[in-house]
Amino acid sequence: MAKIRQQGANTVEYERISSDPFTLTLEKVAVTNAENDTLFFIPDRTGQLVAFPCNKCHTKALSRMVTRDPLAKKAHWDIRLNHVTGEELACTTCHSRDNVEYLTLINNKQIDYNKSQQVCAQCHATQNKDWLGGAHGKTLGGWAPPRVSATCVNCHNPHTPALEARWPARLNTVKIQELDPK
Amino acid sequence: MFFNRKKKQNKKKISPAPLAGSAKSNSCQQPGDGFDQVINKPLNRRSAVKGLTAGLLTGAGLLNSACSLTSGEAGKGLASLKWEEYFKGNYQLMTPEEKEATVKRLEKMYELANGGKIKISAKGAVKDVLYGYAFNISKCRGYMDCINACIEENNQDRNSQMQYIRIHEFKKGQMNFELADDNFYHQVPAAGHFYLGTQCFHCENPPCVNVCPVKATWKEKDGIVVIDYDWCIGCRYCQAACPYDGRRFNWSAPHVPENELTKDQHYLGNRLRKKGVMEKCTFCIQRSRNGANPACVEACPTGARIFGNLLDPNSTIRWVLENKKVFRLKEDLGTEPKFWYFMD
Repeated sequence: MAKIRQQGANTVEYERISSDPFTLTLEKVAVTNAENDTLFFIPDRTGQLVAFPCNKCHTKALSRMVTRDPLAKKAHWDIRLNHVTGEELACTTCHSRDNVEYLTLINNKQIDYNKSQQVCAQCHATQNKDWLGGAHGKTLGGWAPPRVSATCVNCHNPHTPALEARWPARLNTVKIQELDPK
Repeated sequence: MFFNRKKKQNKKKISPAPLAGSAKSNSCQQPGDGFDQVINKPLNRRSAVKGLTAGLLTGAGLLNSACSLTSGEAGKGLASLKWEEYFKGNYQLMTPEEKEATVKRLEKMYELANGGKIKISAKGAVKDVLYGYAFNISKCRGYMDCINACIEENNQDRNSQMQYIRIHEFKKGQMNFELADDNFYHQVPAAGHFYLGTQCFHCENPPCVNVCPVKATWKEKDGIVVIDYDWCIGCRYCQAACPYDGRRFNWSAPHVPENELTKDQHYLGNRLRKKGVMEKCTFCIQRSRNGANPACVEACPTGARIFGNLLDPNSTIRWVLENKKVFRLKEDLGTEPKFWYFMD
């Protein structure tokens, strides 16, 4: 039970400020930062995936779905793996070969979709360290505690993780006119 | 009278948040609101004649419009509100009640003039908070989503395309601002280039505040450097004093389309400015004092912008300062900006 504040007692009132109101509608999952033993939140992933749980369509484990037939029908024909330049990665590098509902680490340990950052961290250790501390990635909600941060897959599509080049969102036409008055 | 008012303000030492009651008892120090500072000031013959003449001139004009037969009920209200606004004091000297009153007047004036309703806040600094900002130059890709968000949130003039944030494009290998391209016009990120954004750095030792002749700009307790738009005389000394190009001047009356107006406003933040006053980034004071991130931080698609409380040891900004190699611009000037740059 929380302590009941006695009226008239010699207590200092601090104004509490929280970023909770900005993330009320967001389903959250807790993440522990072992480095300084703090807790923060990331958005729930499984609720966001359209085709989750996978057993809505798939009844077999991934290892039994592999085929060498180039003309065989693909369940995810629209997904193209463009992650790392060569041929190092395959579906089963990240997706569990034994259970379609899980991701996997390289030691075959099954990982929940809500903890996908652990899969990324195997290779991207420095980025993971920066992300846990708060130097990499975005804060959702606000600056005030509790911290709610975007996780890896909220910004990077794991199949095509690079951000694309594009035109800037705006151009200051006054300045462009000043430079080139024609 | 106009000149007289500002001149007096300059000479007087500004004491933080004086009580309204003390204004009458201590006439030589003269705290209190604009009414006390202007109307109830001790008079000698010289200032009395000067004040009377100027007062009659302005008063006659305002009264004329207020009592005109042709103007309706709404016009009358607007004129008397304008009259009260004209004689209000420096925001720093206002009591909480006076702050509330001026905010209510401004809301009402907007409603009478434009029909729509706005909400202006006079919320003070949150206790135990000092705002700090970090910018990752390895992550910024020059998309400029931050600038768009800033313009919308802070009701900046659309005609002059005023922007608080500038994104500079540098060729990798050097960081000379004279060689940077601030008006790049191509797909980003360009190969072999990096991007760095500047805005007001909210210095701990702000040179812009020291030069203001009317004390219309100051540093708040949470470290945000703010401007009282109604006290600013538009001399632009602060713009000249700022070593970072952080301040902007309204050469013409700012224009914001009604449907694009951000209606959640703050007296020291994004409320509508007028012609001839300074403005700049306020770390979105109307958002940050409620616990939200500034609009630029929220809009950044790359996560290059990090904002937080420097006094909270568990905040992300503190982690960046403690674990990354950070630098600030023109550190040799001793301005102590609360805006750090870092690389991955």
